Amino acid sequence: MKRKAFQAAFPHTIPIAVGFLFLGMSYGFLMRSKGFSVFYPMLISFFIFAGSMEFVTVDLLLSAFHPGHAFFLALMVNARHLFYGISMLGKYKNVGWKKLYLIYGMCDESFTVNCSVTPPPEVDRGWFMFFVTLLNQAYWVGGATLGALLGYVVRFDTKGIEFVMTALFVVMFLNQWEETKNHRSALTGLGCSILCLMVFGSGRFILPAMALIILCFFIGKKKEVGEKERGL
Amino acid sequence: MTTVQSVVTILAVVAGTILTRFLPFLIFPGGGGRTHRTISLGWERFCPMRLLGCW
Repeated sequence: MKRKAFQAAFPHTIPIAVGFLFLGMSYGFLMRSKGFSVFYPMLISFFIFAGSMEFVTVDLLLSAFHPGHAFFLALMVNARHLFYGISMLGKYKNVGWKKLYLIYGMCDESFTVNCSVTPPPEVDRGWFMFFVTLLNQAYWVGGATLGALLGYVVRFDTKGIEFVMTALFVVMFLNQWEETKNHRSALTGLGCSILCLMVFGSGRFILPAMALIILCFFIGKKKEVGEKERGL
Repeated sequence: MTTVQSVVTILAVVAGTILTRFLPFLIFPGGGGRTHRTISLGWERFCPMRLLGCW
């Protein structure tokens, strides 16, 4: 049963493996270039397992000690998981103990595969989703560890490598921009960030910007619902 | 930042991330629909697996 589930899950994770290994290696290399030992990227990528937040954690570890800020930042950056979780409430039903790991290991890519792919009838759905999640996490942790190990061997001027995080977010933003016709949410995010950057400065603008974005979406959604009700 | 402070920072990030993942399942342990369960008076009422709706 497990073997069949693994064989069914593996092909779906190959494209993810390519991206995860490369990006994970960049993350491991970045951590090494900042002076952290190989254990940091290995353990962080295993326990946090949220790509964008791991890149943000590099800066958190290099700035002043503020665990409360780190906690709320993690809540904000990973807030999308709340919506993933709501979508997976039914899918993760009746899978036994695997449910704990499926929730813990949920990332954008695992969510996409588990949400959209229906395994063959002879394959156990729980084990299929388990292996998709496990393989994706293994690629990411493996990539990060490999990148950090390479950091010990390969030596070159790493000045500016931290820009990989900015590049990652710019690519994610462009990807979302291209995928949707309505750019209201992207423009809201951009506008709120610029406004908070001007008001609070570059060192303190992230949390207020995120709070303002959530507030804008909340008001926008309420208005939308109100207009729909009036239309009916 | 000392090693202890680094570990505490990482734990704070882990806690925030795990909370975002588990919260919907803690709010809707039955999967969002109506749940019919026998309320036990024993310790198993507080078992995390049960709270998450694993059974």
